[in-house]
Amino acid sequence: MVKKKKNKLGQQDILVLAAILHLGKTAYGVSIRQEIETKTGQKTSTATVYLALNRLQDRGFVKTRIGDAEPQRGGRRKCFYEVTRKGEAVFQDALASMMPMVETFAREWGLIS
Amino acid sequence: MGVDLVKKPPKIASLLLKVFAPAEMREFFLGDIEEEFQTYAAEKGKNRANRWFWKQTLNSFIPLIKLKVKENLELSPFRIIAFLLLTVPIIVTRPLKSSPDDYFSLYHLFWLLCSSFAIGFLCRLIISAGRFLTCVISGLDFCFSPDNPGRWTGTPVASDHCFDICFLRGRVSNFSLPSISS
Repeated sequence: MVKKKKNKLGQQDILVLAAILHLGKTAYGVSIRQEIETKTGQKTSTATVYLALNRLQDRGFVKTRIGDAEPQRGGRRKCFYEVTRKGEAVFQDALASMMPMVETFAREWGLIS
Repeated sequence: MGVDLVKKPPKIASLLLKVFAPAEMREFFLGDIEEEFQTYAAEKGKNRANRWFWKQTLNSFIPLIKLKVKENLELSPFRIIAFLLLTVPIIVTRPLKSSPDDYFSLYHLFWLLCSSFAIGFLCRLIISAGRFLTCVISGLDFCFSPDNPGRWTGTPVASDHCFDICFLRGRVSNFSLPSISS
């Protein structure tokens, strides 16, 4: 169990980590933002996603891989993100600590079966 | 994807994003925004895409400022050099003075740290202004970087990325006009 205070995740961090894990190796700024918007219905700006990514990267929860430049992006390269083992462990911990509190209500209100 | 690349995002909004985006992620962030803009413009038309772009720009200010502040509080070579240039002469000359008031104290150290951060920040501002002016004077919207694979594939490289790479590696002289034929 990872229990240091600096390993605590905010809501945006959890959403971004979940999106990256869901997207796999194709996770980059645009796809992460779209994934969050589709799954949660929350409008998120690209800069907010980058703020969370920067925080996660600084703490070693995600690693980056630089892609090729594309004309559609004005000749700019893509930066792909992957969750590290440490990031996975912290994400698992965050969910595990949240579930007992949330699960009861989620079942009661029919949000999960 | 049949995306019409003639469509350009609003210039002022793009410039604002370029100025506010932190250097280390500027290329990726601007690329993502432009990619979404192109897709949006192809699907819903240029006017709606322009509105979307402006909305993204305005929504991006607070997160980008947070990132910029974070970036500027980190130690950079400029700050370390400025700190050494300010501190070393004082430490060397202080013992020569006889008055006890002249001893080097924590108070002095605090102000030296603040000044060196400020000087470091000013240096970065001057360099950014230099890059911007070079871009304006040369009139280059696109240029090729010697280190970018875009040079060989014919992919235009946006000036913000190119300037960063060229300045960082001291290869300003290697700038060349692009031959965007297709």
